[in-house]
Amino acid sequence: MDALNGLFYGLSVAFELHNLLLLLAGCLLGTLVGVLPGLGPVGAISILLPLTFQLPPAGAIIMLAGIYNGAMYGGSTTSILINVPGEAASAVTCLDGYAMARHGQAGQALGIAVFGSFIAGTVGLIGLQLIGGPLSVLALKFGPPEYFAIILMGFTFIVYLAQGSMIKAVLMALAGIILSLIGLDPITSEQRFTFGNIHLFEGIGVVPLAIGLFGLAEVFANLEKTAPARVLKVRIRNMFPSRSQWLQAKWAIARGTVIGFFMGILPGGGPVLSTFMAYGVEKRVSKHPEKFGHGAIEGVAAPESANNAAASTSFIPLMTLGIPPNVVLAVLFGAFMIHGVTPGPLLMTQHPEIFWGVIASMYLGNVILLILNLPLIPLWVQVLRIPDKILYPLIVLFCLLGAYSINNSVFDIGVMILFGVVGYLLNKFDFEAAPMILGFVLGPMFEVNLRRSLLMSQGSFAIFVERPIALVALIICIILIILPIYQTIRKKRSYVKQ
Amino acid sequence: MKNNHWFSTGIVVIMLIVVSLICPDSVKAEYPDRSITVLVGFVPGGSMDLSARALAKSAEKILGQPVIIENKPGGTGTVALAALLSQKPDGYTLCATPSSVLIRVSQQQKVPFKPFTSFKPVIGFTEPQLGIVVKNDAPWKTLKDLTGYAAKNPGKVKYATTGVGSTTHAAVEEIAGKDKLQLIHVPYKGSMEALTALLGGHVEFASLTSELVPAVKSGQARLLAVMSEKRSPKYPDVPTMKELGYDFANDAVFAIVAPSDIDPAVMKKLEGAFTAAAKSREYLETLDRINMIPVYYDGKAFDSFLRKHWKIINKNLIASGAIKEAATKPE
Repeated sequence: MDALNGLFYGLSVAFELHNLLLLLAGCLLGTLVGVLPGLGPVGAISILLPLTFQLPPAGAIIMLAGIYNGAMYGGSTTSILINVPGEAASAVTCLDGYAMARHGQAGQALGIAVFGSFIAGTVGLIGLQLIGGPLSVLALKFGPPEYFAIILMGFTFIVYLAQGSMIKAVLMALAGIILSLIGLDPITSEQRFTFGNIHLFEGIGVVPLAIGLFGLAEVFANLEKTAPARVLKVRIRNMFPSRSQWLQAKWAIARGTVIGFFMGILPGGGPVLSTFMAYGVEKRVSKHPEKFGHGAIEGVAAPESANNAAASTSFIPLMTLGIPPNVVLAVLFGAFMIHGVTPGPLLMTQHPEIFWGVIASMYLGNVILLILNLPLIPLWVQVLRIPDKILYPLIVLFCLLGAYSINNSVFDIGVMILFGVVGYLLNKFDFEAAPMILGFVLGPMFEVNLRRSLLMSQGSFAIFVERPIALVALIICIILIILPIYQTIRKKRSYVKQ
Repeated sequence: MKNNHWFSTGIVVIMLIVVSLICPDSVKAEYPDRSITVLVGFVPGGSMDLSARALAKSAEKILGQPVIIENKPGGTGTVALAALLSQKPDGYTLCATPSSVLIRVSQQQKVPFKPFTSFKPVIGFTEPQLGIVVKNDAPWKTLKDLTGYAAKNPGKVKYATTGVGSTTHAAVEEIAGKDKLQLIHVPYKGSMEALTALLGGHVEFASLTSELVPAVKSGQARLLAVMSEKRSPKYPDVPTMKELGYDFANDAVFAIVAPSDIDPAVMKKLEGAFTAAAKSREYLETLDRINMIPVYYDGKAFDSFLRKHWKIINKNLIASGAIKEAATKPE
């Protein structure tokens, strides 16, 4: 099926009434969690996953993808109106978005965020639609050595792109891999780190882990804040940016889209990082960088475009290679598996209704979000008025429910609470939780493909350099490792010279 | 201020309604009053997965509650069985497993359960059809071509299976043992993954279960031998392994098992529902479509099947030198 026929077929799936309703529900829920500080798309998708158990797989994935996209739209609202990011991918938007709102331009800030999101999201989807098919065919050529090398490259990117300390990111990724070893050996069924506890035979689940690290830990962190966030009392009069604002923002949207597009595909990249990069680039190329932080419309347009483009393109590695590039997709990967669908090179041929249905529904989702978002902003502002003392217990309740209902297991609740505390402490010590979840999800693939490769080569590591794709990936790894070391050495030298 | 108060109350009420919808009923009603989960120890799309899904679909009409398949691949199907141990024996979690995981795998690897006593079989419901397949552009037209090539190239020919100790693995061991071949085994977590590896050209051949059907039908792969006692009516031209001189036929039966300390009343309900499901037309038609053979063992019959085959396979494995004694005690 070529990309165009595929899209028409996908639209026929997406327009089925129940799928359309699920998409709508997903978009609304996503916007809601995007708006609510303290609950992001990872937590929301993990918590809502059990709710989708009884849906057909295509509908379930459509709804979960809707949540992801919705959160990217919703996050900007709180950033602009109360200077608190609704979720991490909108943190940068606070800088100029809130400043614009204080200058009485809240409407235009919200408007440009939504339009930028729509344009970038759609461009990202076109990329997914066009690249997805050919890449699936190519991906069949990927054997265990290629997968091993690509996942290794993924890990190096995760570390290289880490926002804080690289050493800390390495440690977190390794911790994630070690956690993933718990349970029966995937090839020989030997017990590892189970301490004879029957609950650990199958390992710990990604859902309780994600809910703990990203749901509960957020609530703990928010408990520290005593001052209630104030919703800026602005009358949102005009959502449509003026002509001059459009002219100012149009290149910012374009650049944000391109950055988001590529950051979405990269392992360890994803929407959050793309916003920081897009903002940085915008500030550097701007003719008036001094305006940034004081209400520059480019400072809203670029990151909000970038995160939506990245959200769309991050589906490319998942749906074609079966490798989730960021945390949200890692949880979605689990969702595919729970619904009996393995994401990977055969997804397009064996489950075209899911492959194309999800792509088409994301196009629709963008339109729905564009139409719904602007008129619904007053409603979301109302939601922000829910007092913390009601909101946070409710989120905790949903975390507990989400962890329990995945396996109806009290043990999972324990795991979730433990990692809630762990996540809170990690946060305190400036460790990022994201590399840990990625290490946890990619760990088993990494291990099994390494072992399969070595079985194939009878123990010779030469298999990784004999294969061109694997070799290229390994060379990229080496460059990514050497580059920062070289930069530090050069910095030190110039320091000594001075 | 008052207005705000009402608003908050409203939100709490709405949320509580949502919660009550998600929460499983705490009030004990008659079994089953919520959905039943069946664990499958292989990746989706394989014969175990497809047949369990077909049976579950028919069973849910009889039980009046959804029967959901959850894949927990790994350790040649042992991860799912181990996962069942940690679940409450309330009949809401079951496991669909090939008998070979309880017999072959358990004898070759030390597993954290007792194959005869940790579980109570509900029903044995189908037999898979296994086969040796190569990619359509491979030069080998018959199994003999393939073994001849492997004999001339020791340690060069790689093959994919559904896991260490699986029946698909045992079949190739039989060929390698008889023809004194040096082959390289690359185990996967289910036939779907193994098929992907074959179609990607990463292994020379694969020993697979029924999911070879669509690939063979569409001409992507060629079937060289089947492992049934008689030729499959779907592929009358393909010889069985026995015809080719290998003493091997599939001896695995797919079964649904429950935790051993399950309530007898619940067990009875499950047996009734799954027996009726296994005889339903819808289920039999699906089985035929995925090229699987319906069989029927009730719990007792499956238990004696297990005990009988444990001994036979134990003897074979010791004779072939694969093991010295069973790695797991059966009870």
